[in-house]
Amino acid sequence: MENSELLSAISATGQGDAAAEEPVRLRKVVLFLVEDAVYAFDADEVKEVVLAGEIYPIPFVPAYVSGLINRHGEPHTVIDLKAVLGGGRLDASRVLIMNNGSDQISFLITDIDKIAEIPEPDVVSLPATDGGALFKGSFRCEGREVFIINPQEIYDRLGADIKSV
Amino acid sequence: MGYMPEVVKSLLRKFDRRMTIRNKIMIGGAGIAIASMISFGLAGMLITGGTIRQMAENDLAHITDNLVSLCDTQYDINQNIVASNLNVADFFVKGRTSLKPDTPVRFTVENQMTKESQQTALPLMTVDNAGVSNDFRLVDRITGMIGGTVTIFQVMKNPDGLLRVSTSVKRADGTRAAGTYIPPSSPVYKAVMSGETYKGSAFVVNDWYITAYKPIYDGNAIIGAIYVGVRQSELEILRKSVLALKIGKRGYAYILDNHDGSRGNVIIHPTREGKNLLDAKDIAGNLYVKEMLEEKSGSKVYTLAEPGGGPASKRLVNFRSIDRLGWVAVAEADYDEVFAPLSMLRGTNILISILVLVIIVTASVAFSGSINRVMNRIKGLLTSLSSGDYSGNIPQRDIERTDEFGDMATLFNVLVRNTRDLLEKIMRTTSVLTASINDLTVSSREVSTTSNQQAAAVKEIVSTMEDSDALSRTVASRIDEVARIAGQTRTLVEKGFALIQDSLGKMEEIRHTNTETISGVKDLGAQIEGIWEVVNIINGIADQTKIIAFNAELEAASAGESGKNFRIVAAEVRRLADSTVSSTAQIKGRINEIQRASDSLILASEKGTERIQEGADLSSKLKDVFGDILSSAEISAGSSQQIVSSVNQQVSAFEQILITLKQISSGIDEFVATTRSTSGAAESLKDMGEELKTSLSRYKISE
Repeated sequence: MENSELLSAISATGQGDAAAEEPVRLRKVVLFLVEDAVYAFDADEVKEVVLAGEIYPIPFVPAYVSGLINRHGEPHTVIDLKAVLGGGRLDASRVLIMNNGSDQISFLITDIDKIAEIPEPDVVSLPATDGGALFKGSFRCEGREVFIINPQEIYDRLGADIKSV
Repeated sequence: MGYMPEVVKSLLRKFDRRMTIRNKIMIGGAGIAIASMISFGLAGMLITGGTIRQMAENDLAHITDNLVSLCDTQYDINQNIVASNLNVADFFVKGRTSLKPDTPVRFTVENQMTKESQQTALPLMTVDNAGVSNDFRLVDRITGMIGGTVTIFQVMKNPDGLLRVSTSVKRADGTRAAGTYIPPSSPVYKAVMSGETYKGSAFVVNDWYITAYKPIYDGNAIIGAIYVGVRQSELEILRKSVLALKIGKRGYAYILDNHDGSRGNVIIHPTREGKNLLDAKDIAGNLYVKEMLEEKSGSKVYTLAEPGGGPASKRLVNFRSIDRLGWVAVAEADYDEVFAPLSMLRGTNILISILVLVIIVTASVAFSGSINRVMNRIKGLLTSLSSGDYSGNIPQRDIERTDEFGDMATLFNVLVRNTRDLLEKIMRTTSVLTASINDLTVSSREVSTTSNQQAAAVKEIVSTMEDSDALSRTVASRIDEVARIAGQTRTLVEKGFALIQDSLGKMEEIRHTNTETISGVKDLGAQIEGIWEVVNIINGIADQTKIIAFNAELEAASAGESGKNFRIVAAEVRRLADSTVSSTAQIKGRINEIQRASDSLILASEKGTERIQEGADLSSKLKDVFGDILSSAEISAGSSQQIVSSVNQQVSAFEQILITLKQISSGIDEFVATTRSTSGAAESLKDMGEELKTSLSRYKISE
């Protein structure tokens, strides 16, 4: 995209703002790939994405925990999403670092896709099941059904699992 | 006899066949007598006639010799007279003559030879200061003293010549001959002008003179000449001497002039003096005088008519030239007078001939009668012999003769007896001969048959050999072809060998090139590896960029409204990084393709190298094989050449055999012909034997 186009796109968003002064709420989500499947996190839950570097395994943890990474001198726990979703171990090098206070949790993903703004009404909420509320909801994007993962549920399961060990 | 005419030959044949021996002897004897008489008589007469004529001619020649010497003597005397006359004349002019150029005298001068005339003027010539030009007193005075003629000449220029200025010579019309001149072509002019005295015969104005010319000097210059002369024909003493000569009763001597201009003039003659006889002809129409003058000397016979119209008479003449005088002396005798004794001799000869003839004929008759009787006996015996009766012989009476005929009769009887014995023997032999000939005939027929068969067989062989010869020639030509092709093959194989060697070299080049290609491709792989690393680096950067952009976008999103624009930029950076990643992915795909392609290329090239190696190995093997082929081709070319020479030898051997066989065949043919002729001869011998038997049966050999 040329600069001029970029600028026109920026001005278009300004106009959009003017038109959408209406109470239609937009929900910001981060879309990412676990192998071929697309999932999403709410954008405010994601801090950044980094290249995994070396993942140091940790003993006596659940199988879906791949290990620890060194992030600017601070250790972050790496959770294998594929394993969480029950599909075996993921061979990947990207890690999403989450905003969850002092726990410093990250998820191993295949690749990030994009940040999108979804109109709130387009998001279908999913009822909590026996497995807990792992997904907050789902929406259609570019012909695909994308599930919004609830990371808190995973944090809770991790805490419980670690305690049970 | 070969040169005899055909008529004489046939007459002789008739005489020989038809005449009895008696008549032959008689006619022969008479013929021989007559022939010898005639030949003796003729020879005698011819010899005598020739001798008489020779004598007469010699006589006449003596007379002409005398005439010539007479004339010469007379001429010498006249010359002496002229010489003394010249001394007298010279006395009058010598030292006294001079020219007066201031007194010119006009002359009409005339060339005495050509008779051309022209006007001229000369200085006056004087003797003792008295002019002599056209003044004749002095010359007349000298003439009166010495006789003959006298002339004074003056040297003349243009026309050159010696001009008669004063002379006692007169022209035919009686006038003085002054004014005529001697031209430079004359020997007189030449002699005088070179200071000499000229002596000799000279034509003076109109006649021949015995002359002398002497130059006249004035100081050292020749200014003229003095001349004295005596006319040649004024010779009275000579004339009398000539006319006094009598030759026989009707012969005489005469002298003719033979100078140009006066040729044929009669100088001295008993009857015809002063005439010109150049056109006189004899009876046959010959210009006989002219003939004599041209021949100058010789002996002739002319038949001349008498000058008075009397009967013609034959004349024997002898003539001779007198060169100094330009005359011809002639002595003439009567022919009949010379040959009178010969007629008498002829009469006597004829009489003797008749007498001899009579005697010979009588003797012939007596001789022939004697031999005739014996000849008749022999004739009778021969008649009975000719009819096959060999039982008779000549009676004893005729055998007892002692001459040749008696001997002949005895021998004849012996001959008859011998022949009788011979006939008996022949008859006996003939019967034996006939039997043998019969045997011979049979055996020669057998030989002939056998040899015919042999000839046919040999001909068969010859024809077979000819076929073989033709065949072997064909083989020879084919073999030649084969040898040629073998040679070509060898050349082709050599070419092929060279080509294979070339191809081996090319193969080596290809292998080398291929190896280079492979190493190049490998280098390219290494280069691509480098690209691959760079692309990985770019990819890594793009990845990181993408992550950074994403994080920025995330940050912008959390910043709310204020981060909105920044989010757009960050999203764009992320998309850019994304497209970079996808581009590098494409590049990676391409590089992978290239690497695969280069790998397969290397594989293929290595396979190619193997194939090339195989090809090289094959070519090398092929080269070996071609080497074998080449040596085989060389061997086969050599062998076929040897075969060619062998076959050629065979062909020539065949030719030899054929020639020999043909010779044998022709020999056998000749043999066949010979046996055939032998057979024929045997047959004819048989016939002849039979014939002989029949012929012999005719003869009666006993009483």
